[in-house]
Amino acid sequence: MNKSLILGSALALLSVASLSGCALRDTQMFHDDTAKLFDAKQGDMKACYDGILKTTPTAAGKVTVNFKWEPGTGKLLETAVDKANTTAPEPVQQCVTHALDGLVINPPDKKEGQGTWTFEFAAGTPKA
Amino acid sequence: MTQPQQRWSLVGMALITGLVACGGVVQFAGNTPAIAGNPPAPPPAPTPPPAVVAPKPIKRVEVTVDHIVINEKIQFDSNKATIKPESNGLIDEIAKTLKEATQVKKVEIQGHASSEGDAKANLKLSDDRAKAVMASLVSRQVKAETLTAKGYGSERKLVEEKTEADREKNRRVEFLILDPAPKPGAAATPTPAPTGTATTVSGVKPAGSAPAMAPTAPKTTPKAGTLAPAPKK
Repeated sequence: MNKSLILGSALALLSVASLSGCALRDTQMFHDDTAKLFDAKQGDMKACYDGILKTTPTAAGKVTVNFKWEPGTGKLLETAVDKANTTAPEPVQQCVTHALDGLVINPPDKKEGQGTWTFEFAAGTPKA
Repeated sequence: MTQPQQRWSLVGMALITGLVACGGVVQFAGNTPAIAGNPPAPPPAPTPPPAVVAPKPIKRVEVTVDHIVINEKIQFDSNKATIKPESNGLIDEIAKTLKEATQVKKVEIQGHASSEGDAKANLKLSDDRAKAVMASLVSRQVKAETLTAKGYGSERKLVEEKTEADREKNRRVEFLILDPAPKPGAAATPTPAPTGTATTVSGVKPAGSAPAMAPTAPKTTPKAGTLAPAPKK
């Protein structure tokens, strides 16, 4: 009985230890953590977009990107514009890809996160 | 299975379970709220040019203490007492002014000529022209009893005639207010000359080129800008 208790405790500790080196995100967690990171980049995207609007006031539309969170490192990889689901012009697309470049999800996950994300750009009302 | 064997198999299973739990692929999708850009402000509307304030039109007809001053010449056909059509507007304005100036009871319309040409002919022409002006005013419902017309030829020159411009100044029609008579000592109203020429002028050269006849009245040469006294009745 005493031995069984010792063994159970050891197993539990071992399981926790084996899991502690990686995050285990489900779909919702990946979504939420990605949203936080991408939201933080909205300022950069907006600044870039405003610059485009100076020369192309009608530039607007959606930019959909596919990407991966690299397991183990959490680096954003293989960011690619999904042309089929993108309506914004090329310069706006570049605003997105440049803003996302170098992002790292923390903590990294042991699983690969394959994401599809859509950013929408709309020209507001010009300030008088 | 011995107890140690059991223990190590359980440890192995736990490790495998942990490793399996760390692997695999999770797919997800999302979007961010729309990013609203700020287009540059439209260029400011061009500043409208400052409103051009229309110059106050020079009043062509003014009532002074002793004159109805007209700041434009009444034009006549050459050597005739026929008022040119282009002066009809001016005559209209004079008529309107006279009708509105109810305090003015009597006005003498004076025709004046330069000394160029035959004085007698000049006298007659200036008289005819004064009467033509009067007739045109009466035809515009100005009461005839408030008007008289008389030609003075060249006897009441405004300026000494050294140049054609001087002669042009002297050719004129004046409207002298006889009633109410200006109070003694009241300064005569100088004739304004907005264009640098005399104002109340008929503007036509006298007939003929013979030397001017001697004036019947004492020849006075009022200074430019002053008015001749009312003729004696």
